[in-house]
Amino acid sequence: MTSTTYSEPLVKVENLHVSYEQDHYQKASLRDLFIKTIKSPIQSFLAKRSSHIVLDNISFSLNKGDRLGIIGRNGAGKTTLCRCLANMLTPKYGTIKVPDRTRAIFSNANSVDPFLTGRENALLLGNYLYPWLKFKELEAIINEACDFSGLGAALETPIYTYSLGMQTRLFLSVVTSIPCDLMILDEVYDGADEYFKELAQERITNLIEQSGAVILVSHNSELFKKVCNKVILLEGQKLIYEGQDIDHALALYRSFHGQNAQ
Amino acid sequence: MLDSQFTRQVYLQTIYKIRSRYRKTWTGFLWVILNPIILYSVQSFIFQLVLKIEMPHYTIFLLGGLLPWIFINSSLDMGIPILTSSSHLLKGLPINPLVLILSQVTDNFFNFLVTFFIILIPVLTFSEHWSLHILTMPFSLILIYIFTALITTYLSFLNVPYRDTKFVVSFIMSIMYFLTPIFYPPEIIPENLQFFLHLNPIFHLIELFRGAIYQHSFSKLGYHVFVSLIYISMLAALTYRYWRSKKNDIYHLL
Repeated sequence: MTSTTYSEPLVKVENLHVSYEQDHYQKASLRDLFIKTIKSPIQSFLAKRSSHIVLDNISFSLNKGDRLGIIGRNGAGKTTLCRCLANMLTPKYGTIKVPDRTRAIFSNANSVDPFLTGRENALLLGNYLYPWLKFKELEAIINEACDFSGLGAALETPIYTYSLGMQTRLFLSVVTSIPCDLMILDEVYDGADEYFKELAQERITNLIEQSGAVILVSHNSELFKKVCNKVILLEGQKLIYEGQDIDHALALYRSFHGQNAQ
Repeated sequence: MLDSQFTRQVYLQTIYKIRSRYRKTWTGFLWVILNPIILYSVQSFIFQLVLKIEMPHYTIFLLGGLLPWIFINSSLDMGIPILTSSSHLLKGLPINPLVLILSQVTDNFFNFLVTFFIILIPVLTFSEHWSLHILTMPFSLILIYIFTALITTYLSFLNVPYRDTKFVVSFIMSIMYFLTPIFYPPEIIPENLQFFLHLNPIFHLIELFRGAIYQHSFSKLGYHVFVSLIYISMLAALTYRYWRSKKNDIYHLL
């Protein structure tokens, strides 16, 4: 991965191909591997590894200010694509260019250690999300996020005592603290109560406006229409549609999966 | 990968891990320290007074073998399943898995050092069995830490596709405890079997560590350092290669 300047596209993906090895599913333990190797050592050694293709020949680019929505059914490769952009996965072929300060969030409630307090968990999360910040700056941002969460005295109690909604509040408060060059949000909108969802929505909207570019994965078509100015549709490992006509992309998506699909 | 951001992540994760562990109960800290001390005391009693092993300063000899072994064994025990048990975190945020593994190993290393010095200081004070060779200890500690971090990392990666890795390693380590000269001197192993002993990387690391407090000899120091570095290089290459080729599968199977 390399950083880009704003004169070029902020994000550039070319001929991306990602696959997983299927072999592990056939022998899920060392015991099975041992038995298989003992039974037929030559075949085990020479056996061709089969792979499962998740994304094939995906290319697109984003400029500063773009808000990209990714549409596709479950298993279409939306999260895999986002993980490649977050440098969590390595494509077999193809190139990816993303800015240095890329932040990716793949869940809406997460804690590092259940026995640490909410505030301590927030600091550790912040340390992972904003590693470039100086420690004093990080502490100030986390204190602001803790105040925003509205959890009050509960912030000083271990996080295993929190309900899912409380965890979501704290997590969303931390991840929406500061804008960055590229923000990837993979289905992170649900979980909190209605009151906090409204508060968080406003904060997220502000954050999206201040960030360089945003990639949004969701099954909520209204959210796409509200936030995104660009959309891609993934189907059968391929990129089926890329463009600005969100209604057309959603219609295509529905035509693949019937009217019940959201 | 080993830049200042990474170092701060490992440091904070370790500090908070220690804090979390000892906050649950103050006796948690006592137990972590007392556990190896009790094990050491019982073994020292059994081998010295019941089985009557006749070695000068046997308590120091045993200390030099048993505590590094406990550190390596407990790091493997707690470090191997750390990726699978933290899958929600690793899949939810782009966190370098090495941070979680190294913080676990460093936490155990801290306990190892505390326990070691709690035992070492009174033992050396009363036995007066010490020399300037103790100055080589930091070097042997660094090698033990690097070796343990690497083998824990490799096996924790392997534990993702092969979920029984932890149990297989635990079984192998229980055998290795008897095959490694921890509570007996390596010299009593027959000449024709010495070759197999020298294939054991933990033997070389323990000999290095023990040399600093017990043997007081530099005669084989270079040899043990050389073999340890070879094993460390091989493990580093193996771990790096495995991560590079299986990274996607590891994330997929978490």
